[in-house]
Amino acid sequence: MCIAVPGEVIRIHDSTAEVRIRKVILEADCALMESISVGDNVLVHAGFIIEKITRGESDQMMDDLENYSNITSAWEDNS
Amino acid sequence: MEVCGSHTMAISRFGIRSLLPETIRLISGPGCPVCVTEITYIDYAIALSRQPATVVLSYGDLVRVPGSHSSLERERAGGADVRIVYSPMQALETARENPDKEVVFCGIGFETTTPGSAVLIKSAAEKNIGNLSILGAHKTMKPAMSALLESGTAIDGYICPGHVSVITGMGMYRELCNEYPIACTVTGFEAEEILVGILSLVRSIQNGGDPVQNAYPRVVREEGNPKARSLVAEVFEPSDAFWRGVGSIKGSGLAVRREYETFDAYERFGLEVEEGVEPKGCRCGEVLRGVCTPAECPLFGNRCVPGDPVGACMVSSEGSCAAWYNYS
Amino acid sequence: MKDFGKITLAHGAGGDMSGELIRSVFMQAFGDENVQGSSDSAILEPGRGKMAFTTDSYVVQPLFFPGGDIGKLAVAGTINDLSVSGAIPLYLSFSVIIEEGFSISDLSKIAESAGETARSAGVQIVTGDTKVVEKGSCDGLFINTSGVGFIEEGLAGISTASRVKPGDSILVNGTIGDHETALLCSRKDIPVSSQIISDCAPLNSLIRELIGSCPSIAFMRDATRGGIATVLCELNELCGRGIEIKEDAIPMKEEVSGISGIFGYDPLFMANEGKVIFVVPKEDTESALGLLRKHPMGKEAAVIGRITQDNPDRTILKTRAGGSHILHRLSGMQLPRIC
Repeated sequence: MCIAVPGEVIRIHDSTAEVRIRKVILEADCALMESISVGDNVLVHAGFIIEKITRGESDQMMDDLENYSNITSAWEDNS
Repeated sequence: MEVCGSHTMAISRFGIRSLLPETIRLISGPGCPVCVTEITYIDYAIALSRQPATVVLSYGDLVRVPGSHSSLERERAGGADVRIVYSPMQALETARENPDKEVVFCGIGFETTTPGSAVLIKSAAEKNIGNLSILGAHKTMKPAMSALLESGTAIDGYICPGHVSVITGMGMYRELCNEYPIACTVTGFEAEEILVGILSLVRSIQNGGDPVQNAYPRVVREEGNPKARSLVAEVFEPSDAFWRGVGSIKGSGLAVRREYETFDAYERFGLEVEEGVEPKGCRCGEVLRGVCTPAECPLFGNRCVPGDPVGACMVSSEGSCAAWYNYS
Repeated sequence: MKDFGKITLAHGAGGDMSGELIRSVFMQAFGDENVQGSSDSAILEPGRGKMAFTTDSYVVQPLFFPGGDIGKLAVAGTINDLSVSGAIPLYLSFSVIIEEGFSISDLSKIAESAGETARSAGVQIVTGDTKVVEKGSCDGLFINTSGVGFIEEGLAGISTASRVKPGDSILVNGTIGDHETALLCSRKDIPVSSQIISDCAPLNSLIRELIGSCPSIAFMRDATRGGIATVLCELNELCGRGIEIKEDAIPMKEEVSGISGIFGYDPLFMANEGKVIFVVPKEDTESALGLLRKHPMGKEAAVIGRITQDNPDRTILKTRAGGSHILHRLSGMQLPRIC
C-alpha cells in the first residue's frame, strides 16, 4: 500500500540525505536507518529512507524467468 | 489476493490479469489505507479543520475522501486551512512556522508509513513543539490478513505487500502460514516482479515446500527494519481498529501511548463527533473482503464513478473500484 | 520609471500613475509601435480566411519557474491555441490584474518576457488592460491573453478531427510532463529539485512548417493541464474512432519518471506547455516525423500510436509489460499519494 522509490545517496546532512532518484534530488529523513553512507542505494517512502537496496544479491526467482513468454509457459506447466 | 493498494493499482495498470491463464483468479483485498479509514475519522478531521486557528495536514490520498457530509478538500474551498504534505516531517516545519496555530497531522497508513509518524511525534517531543498533534488511524496488516481467512474468504495465497514487508520482515507471514493453510509470497511492484510473485505463489500452492517466499529480496530482509519497528513501539501501542467496509478487527490499529498523549489529537481536542453515515447500496465491504469484484456492485460505473464516488473503494485512486474503473 | 518600487492601488486608478506604468513597463516591453495604448481599441487590418479567436487566463504559481515565467506562458499558450486550430496567430491582447504591493521590477521582467516571446513568434501584442486589487485579493498576478489569427482554406476543420480515420498515426513533438515537473521541483515547500526546465514555448513556426509539408494533417491539439492523456481522450470522443497508444513509445525525461515515482503521478496526465498531439495519415508518418525532428521544438518527436478500426469508443494504452488498459479522463487533479 506504499509507493517507494529507489535512489542513490549523494550527500548527507545531519539527519537528512540528498537522494538522487532518476535525476531528481529528494531530501529524505534518515531517522529510520542505523547508518547511511554516500553511495548507498536506498528505498524512499513518504520522505523517509526505509531500507538499503542490496545490489548483487542473487534473485533466484528473477533469474529463473527471463521474460514473459517463459512466465506464461510456466503457467501451463503448473496448471 | 493482494492486500496492498499499490499492488491493486499496479495489477490493473499493467494489465496483469490479461496475462494470466484462467485458472488463476486475482482478488483484491483491503490494502488501501485510505479506503479502510472509517468515515468517523474523516468527520473528525473535518471538525478539526473548522476549529479556529487550526491547520490540518494530510497526505494527498485523503483530502478527497467524502465523510458523512463533506470532505477536507471541500472544507478547504470553504476557507479551512487544509494543506497537502508529502512527508510527515513537513508537519514539524508547519508547526514551527505557525506558533500561534494548532497543527494537526492526519496520520494514516500501514506499517510502511507508521514509522514516519513515530519519528514526527518523537521529534516534536524532543524539540518541545507545543502546537503539533497527530490524528492517528494507523493500521497493521497481519490481523486483517488473519481476519479475512477466519471469515472464510477463499484464498489460496497472499501476494504480500513488498514495502510493508521492508519494515515488518518475513516473520509475520511465517506465523500466518503456521496458523492457516495458505501460501505467502512477498512481491515487488514492477510488472515482472508481480508476475514472478504470482508464479512463486502458484508453485508453493501446487508443489508444496516452504509456503513463505520472498520474491523481493533486494529490499526485504528476513528481519525487516528493527529500528523502524522499535520507534513505532515507542510512540504507539496496539489497539482495536475499525476497517471501513470490513468492521472492527482486534489489535489491528495503533493508538498513541499515554506518554505522548499531548500529541494525540483525540486527547488534545476532545471533540464530540457523531457516528459516521455509510452510503446506501454500496458493496465496498464485500469488495474489500474479496467476496465480489467491483464490476459486480450495482453502483459501479453508473452511480459510483471516480469523479463522483459513493463508497470507499472508489474514492481513493488506489481503491479496488477506482483501479478497476480506470484501468480495465 | 524604473524605480523598482511596489505597485499601489493608485497605479490602477486610471490617472497619471496608470499611464506612466503602462508606458514604462508594458509599451516598453511590447514595442511602442505595436501597442495602440492610448486608444480604447486596437484597429487592425483583417486577414485572409476565417478568423480564429481565443482567450485564456493564467494564474500559475510560482510566477517565475525554470524555463519561463507567467508572461512567457501567457503569450505562448494563446499563440499555441490559435496555431493548433490551423490559424496563423497575428494579434494578442495582454491584460493584468496585479495585487497591491507587487514588485514593479518583477512586473517589468514578466512584461519583457511576454514581449520577447511574442516577438520571437512574429506576433504583436496590440492592446491590454491593467487593474490593481487590494492586497490579498489575488495571488500576486493574474494575466488574461486573447488572440486572433486567420485560418487558411482547408484547415478550418482541423480541431474537430473530422478527417481522422483508422490507420492514421499519432505523434507528439517531444517529451511529456516537463512543465509540471519543473514547477514541482521549483516549489520551496516540497523537498525535491532537479535541472529540468519547463517546455513552455510558442509552437507556431513548428506547426506552420508541418502544415506546409503535410497539408493532409488530420488533427492537432496542444496538451496542457491534464496531459497528453486528456487530449487523447478528447480526440477519441471527437472522432469516434479507437485509439491505441504504446507506452514505451512515449518520450519522457528521467526527471519526469523520477517525480512520477516519488509522488505516484501518472506522466500521461502531467501538464505540458510546449507539446502538441498530431494525427497524420499513415503514408505521411515518416515525413512528418522527420520534419518535426529537424525543428528545435520537435527534436524528440515520436510516433506514439495510431487510430484503430476496433474499439471505437476507447483509448487503449499498451503497457510496457505487454498488458493493456483503457485510458480514462482524470477526475480532478493528481495529488501526491503514499499508496
